[in-house]
Amino acid sequence: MNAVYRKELKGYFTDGIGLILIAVELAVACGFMWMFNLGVYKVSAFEYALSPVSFVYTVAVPLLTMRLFAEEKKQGTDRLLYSLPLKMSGVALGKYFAVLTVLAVPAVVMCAYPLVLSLFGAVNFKSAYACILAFFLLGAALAAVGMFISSVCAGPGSAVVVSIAFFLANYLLMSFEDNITGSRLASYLALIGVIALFGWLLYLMTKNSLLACGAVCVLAAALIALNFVKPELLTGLIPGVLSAVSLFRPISVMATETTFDVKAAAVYISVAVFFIYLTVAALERRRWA
Amino acid sequence: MIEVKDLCRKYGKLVAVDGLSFTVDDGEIYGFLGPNGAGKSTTLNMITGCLAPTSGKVTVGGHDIFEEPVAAKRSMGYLPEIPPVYPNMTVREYLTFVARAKGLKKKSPDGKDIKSEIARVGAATGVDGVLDRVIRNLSKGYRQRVGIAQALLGDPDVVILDEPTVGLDPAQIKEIRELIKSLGGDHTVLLSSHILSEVSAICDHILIISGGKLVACDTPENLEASFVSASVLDLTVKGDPAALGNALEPFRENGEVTLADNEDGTVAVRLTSKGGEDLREEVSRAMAQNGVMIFGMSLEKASLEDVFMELTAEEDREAGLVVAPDSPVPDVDAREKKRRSRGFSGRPDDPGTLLFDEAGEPEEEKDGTPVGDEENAPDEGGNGGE
Repeated sequence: MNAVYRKELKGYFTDGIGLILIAVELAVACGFMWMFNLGVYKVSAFEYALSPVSFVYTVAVPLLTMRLFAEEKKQGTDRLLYSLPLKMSGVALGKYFAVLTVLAVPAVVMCAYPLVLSLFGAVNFKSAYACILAFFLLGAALAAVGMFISSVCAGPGSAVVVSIAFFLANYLLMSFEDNITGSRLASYLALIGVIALFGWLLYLMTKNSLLACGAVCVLAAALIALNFVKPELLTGLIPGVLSAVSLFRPISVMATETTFDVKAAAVYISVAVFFIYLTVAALERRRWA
Repeated sequence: MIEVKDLCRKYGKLVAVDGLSFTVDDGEIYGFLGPNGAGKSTTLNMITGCLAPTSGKVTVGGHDIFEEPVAAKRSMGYLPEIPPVYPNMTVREYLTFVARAKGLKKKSPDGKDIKSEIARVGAATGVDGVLDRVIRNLSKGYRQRVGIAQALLGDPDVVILDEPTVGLDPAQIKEIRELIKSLGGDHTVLLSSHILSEVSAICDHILIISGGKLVACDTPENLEASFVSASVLDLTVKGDPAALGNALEPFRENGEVTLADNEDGTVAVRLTSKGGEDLREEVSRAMAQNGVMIFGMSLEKASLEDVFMELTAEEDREAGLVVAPDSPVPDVDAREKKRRSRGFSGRPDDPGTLLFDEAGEPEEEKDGTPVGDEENAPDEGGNGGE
């Protein structure tokens, strides 16, 4: 793991991508700090500035993770990793920690920003640093997702496109959940769509139309039964689900409420662990491809 | 050191490797020979743990490659078909990364520290002059050398090289062959190639696979000896035609004799012995007794190329790659009958055995004849020989 970590980390700073992204992230944070805390709104809480900075992650993290495994596959160096006396979990963790180190640099530098703000007025340091920690954990969760996408894509180009699309969609969920209707009919229709999509995917995976149709019928029957037995469960279902899967929302909430959400931090760590596990599984599966 | 047992790999319905079993002994250099698409790289990828087999077992140094992968890979260096190098790194950075991944330390009491190992393999492969150059800027030959250098880092007991001389110029090929030869004794080397001259020049043993199956395993000399064709003796003689007729008379009974007059007054004689005996002594005596002068004599023997062509053509026949009976084809029947008469056991695990079919029995005479498969023909000079 140590060899892979050192190689990846050196790579980020040798080709400049790491330094550029760190600089961009800090510059954007400076800009928002000036706008929210010093210039326009003059709010003392640094967290307000940090929330929009998280948007930078939707591009920065894919640029950091796109090459992790997709490029290894493209240039044939994955054979080297498989033939060296390394465990795939070690390889994945080595690469992941290298990304985390790059993400940690701006987070550490940002710790100085509340100190700068304190020169101009009272600052709630506890809340500010808690939000910086949550910001870093969000990056850690997104990095794990990006690494997994890189492990299943054929090249860095497709990996970066898929990752940016995924992160942008996840970012935009924040807007959707506030505006989308929570009515029972809307939930009902949305679930029918989800069941149809599931049936189609099942058919693609198994090529068994009978199995797919059967699964769709069973799920549709369960949905109809739910509508009659506990209709209240369907009310507000869609906003609830969107809120649960939105990774950017907790940062936004923490920034506005200036409180540290332990549950959100646990979710970030869980997402990171889950996608690292998926990455290792995808790498092991490649041997069978 | 390397033991492969009933190795099988399927890609959907395609069987790339079909029940491969062989053992590679310590300190020997084994050549892994086969036409393109025979399953060489797939087999090597499975031996090195890069690819999982559908079934079967591989042990390297007593460690199962799939159950104890780290222990097995510690004793192994591998150069895949495409050198696995990082273009953005310098050669030194790349070799340092591989050395660290192989568990080498900055300082080691046994002298196998990272710096000295890089210096050793750099000197051995000729990359010591380009250690600080970025790999992207190196020629294909140098990238290949860097690939070989990483395989040799840590002085592994087993070195597996997949087509190591591809892309090298003749001088480099010679150097790399010398290097591989020098590895023998201290290291077990498994070398994949479809260049026959390379394999026969370097290897102590040859494994020939075709269609994913092992078709032969023996020393180059034994393989050639096993496949001695119906002995063909070419002579250039001068003497009285009647005396020449008398001298050749005894050989007409068990073979064929053809004569052709040369422009310089000599006669070209071709003697074909159906039994495959070496007739040189008898012919010399008969010519001397009849006062015929011999100006030249040569015995035609099967080369490794003949062995390779015949064995891989046999697999093609089994795979159904046959042509109409009236197609012009080389005469392999005589050799095949001769092989059968030698009584090979056909057991897959019997070194020195030439395999005929899965049941261990010599295959039955088949109608039709083998295709002269251009794609599968061995490429002697295509990649630059010596």
